Amino acid sequence: MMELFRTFDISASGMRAQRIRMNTLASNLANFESYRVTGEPFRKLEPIFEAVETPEGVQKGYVPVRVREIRESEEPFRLVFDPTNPRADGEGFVRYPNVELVKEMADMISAMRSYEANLNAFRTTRELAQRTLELWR
Amino acid sequence: MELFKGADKVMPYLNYAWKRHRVIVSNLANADTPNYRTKEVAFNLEEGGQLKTTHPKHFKPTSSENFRVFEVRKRLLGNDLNDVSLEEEMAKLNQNRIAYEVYMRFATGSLQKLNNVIREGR
Repeated sequence: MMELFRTFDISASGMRAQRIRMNTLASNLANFESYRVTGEPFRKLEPIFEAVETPEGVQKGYVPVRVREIRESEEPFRLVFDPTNPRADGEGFVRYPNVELVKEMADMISAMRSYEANLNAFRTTRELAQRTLELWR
Repeated sequence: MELFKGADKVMPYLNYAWKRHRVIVSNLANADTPNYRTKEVAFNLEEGGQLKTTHPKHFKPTSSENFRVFEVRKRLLGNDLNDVSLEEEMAKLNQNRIAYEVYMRFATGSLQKLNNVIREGR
């Protein structure tokens, strides 16, 4: 019986991971042009997914996903030539956060699709469980 | 008692379908996990999921766990070394759900027959 509920857990872990990914994407987009208090540009946040694979778990078909960490991207900052900007360096370049709009948008669609797939799987699990319960009648 | 064996026959199939459902759900949850490989369940259909014994003193493998989960090694890998195809898994999920439904109908059918006998056909 507990096995039944753990099946819901797998889908839930997938949805949770995608939601965290969506959160980081939203943060990245919101901070597209923001700076830290130190004057350093904002660094893009990246969630790292990890499959929780244990030998027993795999044999039971139980492989949920978790977010191992959310790290700051090491990608180089965007450089824009704008000598009149107060943040410009000696050569007239302004450093902007390393967030790329197109990448974030593409990632957002991917996260949405994955979330929907997990939701669908969740629904199917519920239908199977309900079907099993009908044996009682 | 022959009468009570009806539902037993579909049990391995039901277990298999449920197990496969779990594996597919796991694949879907890990659709964006780096280094994750698609998993699949193997099941020996002819023997009802049981190994043959060649000697009368051999142990009978009577446990219900007659399945093996293995990794599918596909040639096509994404940039993140993940080979889960969302469309394929969705197709498998739906197909498996219908298979489960079929086995479940067999089980319900045989139980209903039993019920009919208990109620003396009334």
